[in-house]
Amino acid sequence: MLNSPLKFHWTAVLKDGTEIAQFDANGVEHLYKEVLDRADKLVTFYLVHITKPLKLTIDVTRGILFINGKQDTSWENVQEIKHNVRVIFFRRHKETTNLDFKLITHEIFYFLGYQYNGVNGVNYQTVVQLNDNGDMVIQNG
Amino acid sequence: MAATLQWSEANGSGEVVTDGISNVNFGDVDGANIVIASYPIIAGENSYEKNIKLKFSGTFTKISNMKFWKSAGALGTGEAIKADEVTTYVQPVKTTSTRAVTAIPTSMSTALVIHSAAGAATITTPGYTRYICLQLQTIGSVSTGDVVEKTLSFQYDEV
Repeated sequence: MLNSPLKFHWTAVLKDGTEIAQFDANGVEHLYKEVLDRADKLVTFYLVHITKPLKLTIDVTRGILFINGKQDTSWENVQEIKHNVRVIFFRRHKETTNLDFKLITHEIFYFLGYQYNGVNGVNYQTVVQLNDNGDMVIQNG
Repeated sequence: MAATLQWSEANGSGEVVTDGISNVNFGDVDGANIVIASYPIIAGENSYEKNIKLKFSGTFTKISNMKFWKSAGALGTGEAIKADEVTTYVQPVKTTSTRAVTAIPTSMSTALVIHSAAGAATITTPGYTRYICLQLQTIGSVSTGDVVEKTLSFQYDEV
């Protein structure tokens, strides 16, 4: 059974400057569905680690991933004009237990990135996989 | 927070569901939270089937990509675990299962794909998955005593 706190919280920023935070100032949790419902108004979407100085931001207008405000052009495709940029975000849970539930573990991996259509119409993706510590694996494809 | 996950089991002729079970031990009884020492499986016989499912509650938009497999714990000689997703509940039996007939997957790449109780690939409101029917089967040559401990894994994506 999972009740462990999330290590990354998300925030969405819309064109009019409105922010939708996963947890608002009153501590109320908002569903990601609120972001999906406003996907056409989304400007940036970011994850912040709750205890470490780590922030990953998707610039939805240009299709760029910033890690603590910096873009890493060594792996991210920056040559192409990116059309129809869409945020990719989900948490992958893996719960493992022995049969008597005495050795139960629950891991969470955070996936953040974007997909877009290149000038040739082909769909491309850039996704970063993060664990609770903020260790990253980057996937381009 | 995120979605809250509980393991559940159903038993009896009336599909009595126990949420938040404390184990999925196999035994010679149709019941949840089995104490193995009280209901050992006789060599050459099967356990009663286990009908387990996962319950999601809490705050979430969508659960998808649900998978179930045995991630550790070798099967001994004469020991087999069968597992299949089933669409309906049937009272567990200890005769060789006609519902759990496939060797339990042992890697994520071959894992059972699990659906919502309604048969959808995603869950968008609090509720259950379909049942996973399991049975431990033995033949007479199986070693007596405790078998090697098994580890089960359940994976899902959430937003």
